[in-house]
Amino acid sequence: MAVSGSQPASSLFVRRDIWELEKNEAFDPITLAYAKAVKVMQARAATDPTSWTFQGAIHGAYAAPPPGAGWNQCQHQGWFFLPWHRMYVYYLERIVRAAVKAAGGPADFALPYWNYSKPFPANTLPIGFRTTTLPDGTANPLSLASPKRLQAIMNGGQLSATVTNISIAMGKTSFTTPAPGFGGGKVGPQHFGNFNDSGALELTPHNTIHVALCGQGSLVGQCRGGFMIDPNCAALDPIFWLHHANIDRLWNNWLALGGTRVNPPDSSWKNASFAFYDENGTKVTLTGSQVLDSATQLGYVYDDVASLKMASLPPEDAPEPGGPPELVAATQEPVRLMGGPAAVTISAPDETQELLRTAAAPGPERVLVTIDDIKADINPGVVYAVFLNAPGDDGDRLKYHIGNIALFGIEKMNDADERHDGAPGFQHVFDATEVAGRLAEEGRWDPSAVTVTFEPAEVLPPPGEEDTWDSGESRKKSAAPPIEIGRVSILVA
Amino acid sequence: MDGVLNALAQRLALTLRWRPEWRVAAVVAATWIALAAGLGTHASHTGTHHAALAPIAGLPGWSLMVVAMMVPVTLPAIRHVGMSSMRSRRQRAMAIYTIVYVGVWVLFGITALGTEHLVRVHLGISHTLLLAAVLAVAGAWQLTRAKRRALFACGRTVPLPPLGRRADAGCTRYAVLQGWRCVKSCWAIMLVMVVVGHSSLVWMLALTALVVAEELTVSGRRLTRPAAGALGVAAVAVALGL
Repeated sequence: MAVSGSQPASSLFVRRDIWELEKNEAFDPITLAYAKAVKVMQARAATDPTSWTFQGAIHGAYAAPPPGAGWNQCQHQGWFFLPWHRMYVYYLERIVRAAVKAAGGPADFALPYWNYSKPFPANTLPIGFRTTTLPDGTANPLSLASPKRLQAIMNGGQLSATVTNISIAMGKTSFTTPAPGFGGGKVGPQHFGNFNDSGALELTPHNTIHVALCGQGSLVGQCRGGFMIDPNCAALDPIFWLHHANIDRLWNNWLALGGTRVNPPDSSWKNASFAFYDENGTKVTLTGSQVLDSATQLGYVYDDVASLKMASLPPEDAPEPGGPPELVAATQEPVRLMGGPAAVTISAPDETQELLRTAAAPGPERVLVTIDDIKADINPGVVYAVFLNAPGDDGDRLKYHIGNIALFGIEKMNDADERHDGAPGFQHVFDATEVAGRLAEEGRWDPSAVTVTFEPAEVLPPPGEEDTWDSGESRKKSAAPPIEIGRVSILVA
Repeated sequence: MDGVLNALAQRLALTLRWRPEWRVAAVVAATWIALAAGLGTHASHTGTHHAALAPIAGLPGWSLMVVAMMVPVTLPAIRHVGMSSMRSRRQRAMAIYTIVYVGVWVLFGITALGTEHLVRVHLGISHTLLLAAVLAVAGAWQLTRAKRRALFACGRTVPLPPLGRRADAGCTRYAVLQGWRCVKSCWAIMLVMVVVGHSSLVWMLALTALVVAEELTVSGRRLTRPAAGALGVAAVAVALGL
């Protein structure tokens, strides 16, 4: 069933790659129309559901909501992350489109997406978002100065390949279980719960992009610091919507890979209902089952994938559920991350060495690395890439990359006055089976000494400008607020 | 037939592997059966003639009641301990956690039973008045920020080292953390049980249902305020002798 007000399937809106749009000019018609619409929305009263402030507050806000307004609703760390954000972007897009059309802009306006996982220049902030003025000389609302965004990003720095790495998420073959699945664990509707239930796509690149755009030392609180790093301010940054359009596109692309990659069949997932506001400011609700196919139900597609026909996907037999993951090795001492690299070497005791050795060999067993009992008072603004037995700088380190720690939303999770559901403890779960298998093939898988390395992801200079590029960053890199990790564990499932 | 039974047995075995806390849950169930059969009721209110020892005499019954009422709310934490432990020491880790957790509640019980005895016997306050008072306190506590925060902190953990004495110490620290958190959340409700005694299965069932719902379910956390009202009404009813 199509959603009321959506485009008929015969004339679908097409969300396009922003770097393709900006190939020839910073302000192509779509980017320029978006900028002008943002300006219009920013001028509206915060109590107007079609205003920029109100729309941002639906995700999160420090201010108290107007009576009856549904603010602070964003769904994270669970299986509602993807459908909720699809609905959210969809209605924002309708509001923007109405403003674009009212201003005489393109009637087929659709939000672009930012595919930062492609090589340079796509892995840098789109130019229209770092140019301070519009062609008419007025201020560009798409451009945010430091500290709202990291200056190195505004100066055209490249995002690290670990931050934009989508291969881990796209390699998942199930939405929910076994953890970590692609889309998140089965939890009830919740604002922020526990990292344990985050899907692989939410962890990377979703969380990592949110944090990397603001960077180390970014103040969190009252929207005086980085916007994207703070759930209460993130949606006020116009790049938020292009980021989430990309996450939404990756959901479509993951489903298109087929096999066991299907949405949850559970009625509790499909029937969960969430409230938003349309272009008329009218409160509307959508359920998960109304947003399963963006083309037929919501009237939009992406420029790189055809409309999905999920019913025709060849389902594979779901694997038989096995036993729970068995702990085979863990650190005895906590680890503290302070902004620089850190490493721990884990030694499996005699009783589990053989199990860990054979788990790395081809077979049904999985090797999991978990980062347990994570504590941080605030988000340090650092994305730590996690590697397993990473070689020196001369190797292809991405082959040993098992995930990232970005802690997006940690302040919300720390809020003692808010309900947080999920398993006990703040934990990241990384599936390291592929990397362990590679290490075994290379003869570098020794259960008595497995090294887990944490490396802060750096913003890199544009190619060819390594010696001349000015990152604009003056903060000392060693001064990041700490992240305490209670234990690093290896499990076999 | 054998094939069906084998399949069922395998499925059960697999389910139990995912629920390493099942032995503790079985102990809780056995405790309820024992309490329903009247075990432990003798000592607490009728067994001793020495007034000073009355609170101590109530401890066995109190301990059974703690196992029946307060251990269910910590089963997710026991599962966390089990799943976070090496297989060779999984049962030991869960046992340490459970014993220390119950120990925290026993310490609370010693204090509460002693205080109740002092107030009832030495100050001469009637059982009815005391019950009405603790019901009112329990209702009021439901509305406090401290109660809500304690409830929301049920997911807090401490690092659990994998081996040796550090592993035991980690389980102990975690049990103390969770035990103290649970005391902060449920002390007022358990004061009601101090006054009514563990022979009252109706009170036990009703209050256990409340704390289990509040602690373990999302919808149950919305019961905090209605429960406050219900406890307040109960306080008035008891005070009026209804």
